[in-house]
Parts: sequence; structure tokens; C-alpha cells
Amino acid sequence: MEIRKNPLKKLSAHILKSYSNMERKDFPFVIAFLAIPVLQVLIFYFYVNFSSITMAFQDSTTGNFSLENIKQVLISFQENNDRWGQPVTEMLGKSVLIWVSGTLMAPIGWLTCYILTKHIPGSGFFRAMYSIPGLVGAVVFTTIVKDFFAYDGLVTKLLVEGGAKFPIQVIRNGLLGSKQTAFWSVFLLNRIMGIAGGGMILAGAFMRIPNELFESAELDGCGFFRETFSIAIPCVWTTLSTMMVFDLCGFFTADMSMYIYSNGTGIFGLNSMGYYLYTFSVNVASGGAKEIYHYASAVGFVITVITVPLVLLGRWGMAKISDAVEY
Amino acid sequence: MKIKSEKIKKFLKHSIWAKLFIIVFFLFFVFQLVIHVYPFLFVINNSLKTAEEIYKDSMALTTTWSFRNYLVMIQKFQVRGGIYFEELLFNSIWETALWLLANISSSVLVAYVLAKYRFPGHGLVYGIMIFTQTIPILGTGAAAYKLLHGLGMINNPASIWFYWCNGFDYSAFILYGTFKGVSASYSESAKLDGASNVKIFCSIMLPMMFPCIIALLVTNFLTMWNNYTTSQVTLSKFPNLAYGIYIFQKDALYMEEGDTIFYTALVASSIPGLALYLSMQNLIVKNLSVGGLKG
Repeated sequence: MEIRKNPLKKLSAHILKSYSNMERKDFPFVIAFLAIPVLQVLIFYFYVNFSSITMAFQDSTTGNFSLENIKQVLISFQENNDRWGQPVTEMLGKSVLIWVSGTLMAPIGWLTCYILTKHIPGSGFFRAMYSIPGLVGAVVFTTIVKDFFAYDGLVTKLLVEGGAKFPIQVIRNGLLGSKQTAFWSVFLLNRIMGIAGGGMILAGAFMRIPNELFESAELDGCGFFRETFSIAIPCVWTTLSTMMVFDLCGFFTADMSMYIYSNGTGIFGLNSMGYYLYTFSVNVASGGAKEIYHYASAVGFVITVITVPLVLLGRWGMAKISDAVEY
Repeated sequence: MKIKSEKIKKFLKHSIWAKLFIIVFFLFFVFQLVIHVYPFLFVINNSLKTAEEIYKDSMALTTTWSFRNYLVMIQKFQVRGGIYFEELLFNSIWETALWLLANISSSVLVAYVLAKYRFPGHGLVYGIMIFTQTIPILGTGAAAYKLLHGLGMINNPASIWFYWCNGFDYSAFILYGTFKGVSASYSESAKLDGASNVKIFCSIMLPMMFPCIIALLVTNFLTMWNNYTTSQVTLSKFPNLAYGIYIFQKDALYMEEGDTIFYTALVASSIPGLALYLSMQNLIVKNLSVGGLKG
């Protein structure tokens, strides 16, 4: 009766009960295994996030509570111009475009992954070749793309020979050297190259669907399209929904390597929110002013406030759309 | 071969519309193959040209096959006026190895304990794993740098490993699902035979998890090997190959044979990742899976 009244005693009683349920020798083992990772996450996730949120609401000179940083960030979004002249609203729009286009195209990616895995001979070879840009890394890949998009590069030449009309800046500097074409060139390239494959995890999920399932469906007169949409996709739904939630978390961090394309300058519109947030880290690492820490934290806070409800909504939506299919 | 013939047999059984659909996709896959592979072949081709050949026509096939370029690159590739290719390579190797050791071992420990033991606070620790993975708190780079600087971990290989001991990341999530799939009967029988927790973990559970761990090591290897941000922000005094190439691309313009050196460096830096991944592709596809997000 006393335990029920006191929440602390209730909690300790619960812990003691759990502890007595497990073998005593297991407890030190569990502690030993978890000690370093838990300490790490407490310091570098929880403390860092707490510190970042605190800095967002602090005056950079006095350290007192202040809404000034948040106000300045909101004004910068309103005016599409932050204190360093960065077009923040434009960058926000680009990040939304990157994410929305990726999400809308995701079903095509699932379909290509399924057809490649289950219906195309030599799917392993195709998949291996599709992974080359990822394997060589962002620095190498963007360097190659810069070559192709240069004024005398293959893509620019092909487009000009195909009759495309470009402003003089593109003729002189290449597709990445003009505000009219730079972002769109990178964006379209990423989207076109991102369609095929669907990734290793999804390919593995499709491969694990037992063939018997398709065979019995075939005996029941199930055709290709029904097999795809009524068997294959629902069978990997758990994987798909999890991948989509993780993708949602990258709402403002997917930057299509804009930092490397623009050599860290964001020039010619080669920027996005992911680029913007990363430049703060680079600035503080190269000895930037104290106020950058506070401003960067405020930007992060505002963006987090936008992203978190979206992620929670996405998680809820994924769970609602379909229950996991067991096989 | 059997699979291929099975796929072809299956294809022949489809309706005309389904056949047409698959053929269109096959052509699309071939087009994708060209746009994915051609750029890399272009770099390999240019790495085997002389500077004059590149200057004349960077798109043409090499006629000289100058493998000597690779020796020249090892001698002349340098950044920040004195950091040579071998030092960048050495930094890439130790940074990747240390990061993999810290990150994957932490993930294994967290995933194993969460999947196989019930303990007070189990729900809380599991909740942390889900929370840190699905609730993105952005723009914390400045705060993280401030803390790392305060702890003396910037440019400090002796302590940076602790920052990399993130046992609650995507790898832990994958490992948790895989550990969950391992039957409890193995450890129960071993316990009855008197095996300790450490013995069960090292001699029974870890060997069963090797394919999944190796698959994660390979995918994470690629992440770190190609990562330039760590070198730029936290280990700027120890630049790796990816960051070295990022810096060098500007210097190449002002160097004799700069283009050939640059292209050979691009190819050389890509070889470890390509070789490792392409040889392990099947293992990765078969062993990496993610479950649902509950909690």
C-alpha cells in the first residue's frame, strides 16, 4: 500500500524485481558491455544536443537567456538572407525539393530493385556497377562530374550539339559555372542516377522472399503485375517503411555533395540546408567567431522544430498504411 | 547459371504486357549501367594518358598507356606543401581501422545485450537506440566541436576513438535484428554446460554473427574511407586520402603533370573500396536487413 503511494519506492521495487528475475552474474556483464556506448551517447548525443539548444537561447557575449538568435534566424528565413549573405530560404526550398523528389521517386526505385533482383539475369553485376559512384566516394565522384559538366566536358558538348541553348556564362564556365544551370544539373544527375538499384538492404529483402510464395501464386493464376504489387512489395513493407523513416530523418541533411561541388562556397546556387549546416562546422573548426556557435545552434533548433513533427508523423503514417507481413 | 535460366524460363511464361514491361526495364538498366560506369572508365583512361594527351582531348582513348603515371603520382602528389600520398594513405588506413573498431564493436555490444538480456532499464536503453536514430536533432556540429575541443579530442588520435564509439547507430539497429534472430537455445544449452556469459558471447554468438559483422565492416569501411569531413573538422592535422584529393584538385591546375597525377590519385584512392565491396557484394546483400521500428 505504501509502495503504491510513493512513486520512487514503486520504481525501486520494480527495478529490484527485474534484477531478481535475472541471474545475478549477468548484471555486471550487461553493465560492462553497455558502459562505454552509453557514456558516449550521453555525452555526444544528449549533452551535445542539450548544449546546442542552450546556446540557441543564449546571448553570445553575456551568456544570458536571449531570443535574439532565434529571432535573427527567423528574420533570415523571411528575407532569404542571413548575416553572411547566404540565401537561407532558397537553401531550405532546395532541401525540401531534394527530399520530396526523392520520396516521390522512391516507389520507382523499389520497383526497379524488385525487377532487377527477381527478373533480370546478371542482377548482381548490374547492382555492382550501380554502386560504383558510391564506392569511389563523394570527392572522387563530384570531381568526375565537374569534368563532364565543364565548358568542354562531355555532357555540355552533347547538350550543345543536341541544340540546347545556354547563356554565355555556361558556354564560358560550364554547366556548374552559372546560377541558371548549376543546381539543376547536379539535381537531375543525382535523381537520374538514383533511380536504379534500390540499395543492398532492399535487394536482400526481396531475395529473402521465398520462391514458393511466387510459385503458388502463379498456380493460382497470379500474373506479373499482381505478383509485384500484391506479394513482393507487401512482403518487404517492414524494410521499406523503416528505410523511409530513416530517409525522413535526413530531410535537411541530404545535400547532394553541394559543399564539394562548390568548393565550400555555395556559389552559383550550389547549396542546400545540409551544405549550410556543414559550413558552420567548418567555420568553427577553422577558428570562427564565438557568435557562430550560437547562431549555428539557433539555425539547428529552428530546423529541428520543423523536422521532428514530420518524422513523427511519417512514423505514424508508415505504421498505419500497412501492418508488417510475416512469412 | 541455374538462377539465370530460371529467370529466363519465368520470363517466357509471362504475358505479353509483362514481357514488354521487363524488356523496357532491361533497356533502362543498360542505360543506367552506361551512365554509372562510363565516368569511372573515363578517369581510368585519363590516368593512363600523358599530360599532352589529356590537354589535346580528354575524352579520347589513351594511346600511350602510361602506367608510369602511378609512380610519378606517388612521388609528386602532395598537399599543404609536404604531406605526400603515402602519409595520406597511412592516415586513411589508421583512421578507418580505428573508426571501424570503435564503432562496430560498440554496436555489437549494445545490440547483443539488448537482444539477449532482460535487465533493469532495458526499455530505456532500447528507447535511446530508437530515439537517436529516428529523431533528428540538427545543427549540433558547432556544439559538438566546442565539446571535443574542450575535451582535447580535436587532432588527438589517442582519444578520438571515444567519440567514434557510437553504439546506437544504424549498425546497432541491423545487428539487433540479427541477434534477435539467433535462437536462445544455443546460449541456454551452453549455460547448462557451465559456460560463462563472456564464453557464450565470444565462442557461440560472435561466430554466428560473423557474416553480418563482416557485411557491416565493409559498408562502414566505405563510409569512413571516403569521408572527408572528419579530416576537415576533427582531424585536420591528419588529412586522409579523400580530403587530400579534395585539397589537391585546386593545386593540380598549377602543377606540371597536375592532371595525370590527379587522375591517378583518384583511381588509386578508389581501389580499396571497389575491391572490397565488389568481392563481398553477395555477403552484404544476404546479411544486411532491417526490421520494424517499435518503441
